[in-house]
Amino acid sequence: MTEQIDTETKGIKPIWYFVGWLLLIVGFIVTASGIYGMISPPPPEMQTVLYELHTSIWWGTVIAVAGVIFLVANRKTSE
Amino acid sequence: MMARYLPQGLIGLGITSVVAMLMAGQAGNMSAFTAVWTYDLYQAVFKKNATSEQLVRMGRLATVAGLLLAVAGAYVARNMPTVIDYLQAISSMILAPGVAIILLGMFFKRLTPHGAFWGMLVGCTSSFGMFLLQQLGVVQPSFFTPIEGTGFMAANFWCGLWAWLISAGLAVVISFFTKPRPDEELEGLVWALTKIKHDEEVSWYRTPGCWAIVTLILFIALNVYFW
Repeated sequence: MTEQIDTETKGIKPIWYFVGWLLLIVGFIVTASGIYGMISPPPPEMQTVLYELHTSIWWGTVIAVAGVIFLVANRKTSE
Repeated sequence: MMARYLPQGLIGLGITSVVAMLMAGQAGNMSAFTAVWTYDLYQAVFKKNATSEQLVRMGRLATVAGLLLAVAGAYVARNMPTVIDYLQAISSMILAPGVAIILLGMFFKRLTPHGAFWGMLVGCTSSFGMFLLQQLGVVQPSFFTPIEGTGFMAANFWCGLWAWLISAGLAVVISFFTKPRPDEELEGLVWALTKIKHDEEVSWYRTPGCWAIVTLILFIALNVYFW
């Protein structure tokens, strides 16, 4: 049974590799929208609490970096 | 709250997460409801020699019935102050007695099926009774708590605690008056009769115990910080 599973998964990327791509894409979108919000901020009455901290840029970067770590750590296919 | 705190970008991620969480939770609840109804009630009680086809058909019907019940539940929730009040009330009725029986089942090998069944039934019924008394205005929410002027949600917490104690107490008492299951049948099911495997070659930081301690320290630190 174990052998069968091994042959079925041979040459396949682990799921965390694709999770890495997802995190990287989401992180990029969030960071980009944060940068856009910094360049052309919405009117004061539309701004969220502590808007000046630009949380989208910070957290977008954190998500993207996590994505890169996932990608690098899981880049090898199973042998 | 999300609109108040999350700027563009993050709010999309937040809403997507909430929708994904709700969908996953709903799917899990629905399959659990269908499985319990089809296997534990329909097959075990109503039709013991049911064929696979009949079970699948019953499972599909149970899914539709579960969805309709969920819609009806939404109308009940509309009459509550908030959705969390509704969740809290339901949890105190179902989860509190359930947790009591599950914990006893895991750690108390003297527990008998009769004890578990009646403990759960009386616990759920008593909690529902306490909820109904509040809803009908027979008693004030603070009747169930030792604190004056308690609100609806806090009263539900207390009702959950009472239901837990009633369930656990009754299950233990009834168990001592009914015939216990032999130890051989409980092997691997009850803590005292389960051989726990230990991974000898796993580094200390990859053990659940290590992360349990880290979580506990974080839990205490955050509580002290935000006290």
